[in-house]
Amino acid sequence: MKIIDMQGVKKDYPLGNTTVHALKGVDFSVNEGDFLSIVGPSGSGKTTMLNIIGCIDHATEGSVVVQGNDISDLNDKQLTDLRLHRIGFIFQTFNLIPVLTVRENIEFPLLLMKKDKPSKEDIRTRVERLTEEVGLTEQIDHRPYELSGGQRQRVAIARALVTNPDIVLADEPTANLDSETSEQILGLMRELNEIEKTTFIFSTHDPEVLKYAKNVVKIRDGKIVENGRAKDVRIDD
Amino acid sequence: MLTWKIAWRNIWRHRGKSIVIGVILFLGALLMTVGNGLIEGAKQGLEKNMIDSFTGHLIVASENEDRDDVLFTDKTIEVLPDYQEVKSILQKQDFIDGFLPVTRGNALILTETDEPGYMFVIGVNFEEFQKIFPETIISLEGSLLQPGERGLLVPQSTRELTYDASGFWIIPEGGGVAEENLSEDALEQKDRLEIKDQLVLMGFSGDGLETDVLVPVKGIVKFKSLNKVWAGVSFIDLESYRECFGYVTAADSAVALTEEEETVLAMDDLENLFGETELVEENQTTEEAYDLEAIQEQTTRTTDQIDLDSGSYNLVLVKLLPGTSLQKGKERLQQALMEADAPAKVLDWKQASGEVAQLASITQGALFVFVLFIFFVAAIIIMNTLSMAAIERASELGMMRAIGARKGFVSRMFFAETAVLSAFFGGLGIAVGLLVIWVVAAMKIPTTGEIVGLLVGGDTVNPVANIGGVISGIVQLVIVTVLAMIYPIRVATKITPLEAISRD
Repeated sequence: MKIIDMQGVKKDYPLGNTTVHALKGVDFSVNEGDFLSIVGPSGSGKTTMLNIIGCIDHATEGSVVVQGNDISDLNDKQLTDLRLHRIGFIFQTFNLIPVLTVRENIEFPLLLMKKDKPSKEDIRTRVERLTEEVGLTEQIDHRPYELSGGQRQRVAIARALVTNPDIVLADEPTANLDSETSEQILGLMRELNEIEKTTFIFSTHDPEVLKYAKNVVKIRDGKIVENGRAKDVRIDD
Repeated sequence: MLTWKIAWRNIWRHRGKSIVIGVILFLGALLMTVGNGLIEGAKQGLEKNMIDSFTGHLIVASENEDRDDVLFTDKTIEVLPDYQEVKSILQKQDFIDGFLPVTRGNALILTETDEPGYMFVIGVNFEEFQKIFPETIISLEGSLLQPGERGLLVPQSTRELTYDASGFWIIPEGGGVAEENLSEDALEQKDRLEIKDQLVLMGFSGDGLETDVLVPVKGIVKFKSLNKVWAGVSFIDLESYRECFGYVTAADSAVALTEEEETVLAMDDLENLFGETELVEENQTTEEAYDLEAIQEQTTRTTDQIDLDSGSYNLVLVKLLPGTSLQKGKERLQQALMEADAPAKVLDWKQASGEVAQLASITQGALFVFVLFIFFVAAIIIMNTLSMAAIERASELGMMRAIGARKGFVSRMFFAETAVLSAFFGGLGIAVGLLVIWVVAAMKIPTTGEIVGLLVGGDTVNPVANIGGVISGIVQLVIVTVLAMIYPIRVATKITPLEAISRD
């Protein structure tokens, strides 16, 4: 079942006297439970695609349907709620809240909920389960500055999953990590994809990362040039 | 709870900025509290020193009088046409604590030289004055006016001004020169000091007639407060004032003419009284010795009891009962006078004090403006600091928005941070401000000069801390905090998730 459907999506950015065409008509869909990688060189439009899927940015043209919602019809509050309940984010620079502990960072999205807010006990249970899944039980009361890069990214992954989102978007999640840690993170994301059945979409320009993906979308100069199963798509350096 | 938790921890994390904002809030709250205390103290002090010492709350003047600043103007004031009627109306009012009729005007001090001096005099029944305004006037030399006694009470400052202008030193009748009270200039000349214990005052009546009156000086006095403001005000007994300024005196009113005398005086042509006959006739004269002393013994001197209130006044000073609103009291009294068709109008003490009250209002207004200025400066500095903080935390705020925080959450977070700082540092500022008020009041710092005296409402700086002032300080703090937050919250809530990612 399609969880994301983009048709004819264009995105333009004004830049002084010129216009940058970040996406030039993208047709793209993602199935539920997929572990999809968007690959392409820097400036190809990967992040722009993720931002539009994640309801952080708006398409200049075309339609974007996320979990049955045409996001061009939604206002800021509705988009925010969609992100809170349906989408999880993993950022390249982790973006944890520095004054909150690991536990508090992970539970943060749950505390933002107004409707369907879990009970305190549920929150506690969920957080501890995810903390265990990402292997940070001993660091649960630590602050981000006390963690390594890899540990922080694990916290970000746990936070992204705590609301049981339908989609997790990760923008170059291993860019700031060493290769060993990157492998661990990607392995964890793949594992959680299997366990939680959450759809993962991550962008990367690192071919080594691609081996973890089930499906790959190749993008260049704002256009999708290839789209298929990972083993079938040829990846250039 | 989440916003308060994040707010509290962010305050600790950004201690430098928090301290900057905190210090501004502390100083702002401190200065506003002390400023409010000075304003309140000035207001109370001025009211006490003006209303309780000189003017009363309300002043009744003639309805024919165009001016409102009737108390201290150097212009002639209309006589109150029918004081007895005004008196009876005042006596019937249940909101009036007491009233005192007075006269006031400028008199020339005639001297042997060609340069007369000037003296502003208030003519009053001094015994009644002391009942309405107790302990206002303190005797330095001589005595205060006794009931029925004629004379002048001259303030020390008026004596010094007169010495500078006219070259003679005023002393009480029957007294000597008190060296300790001599001004510096007088002290230098003490061996050849010209002294006077009686003054010849010349007043001008409404129709331009001049009258000289010789008035003994009974005492040299000072005022309990605001000496420099009242520097030129002397007190004189009522009858001397009336004679000097051509008013109807009580003695005049006590003279009852016979019907025959009234008829004679009403005749148009008094020449007819004398006709064409010789005025003087030759007559037989006889010589007889008269014993003058015996005749004098037969004659007893009688003094009629005269009612001072039967003479003229030009103003009545009215004190209201405690708890009576000034405005309401004024309206009620004016209404009562109108209903009785009395030819009088009612002024409040500020109107009647004219420039004196205006000066006080201006100086206190300046203090208020200063407090407001601090208010706005504090708000602007805090606003700038918070706005910069919002921009610096764009990445964090954008991430929060990305993962599902609404704009309201961001607003509440900023509000919580500023509210905590405001409550702690602002509260501390108010507390320290109250302590400063208490210490300054206890120190009884003397004021120098007329302007400062009017600014603080007395002879010492006497700020007042009361519950109203504290509430006012808290309200001002809240307003500063809210104003300072408006723009930074706008900046913070405009940060989009995309912007946060772009900054990364």
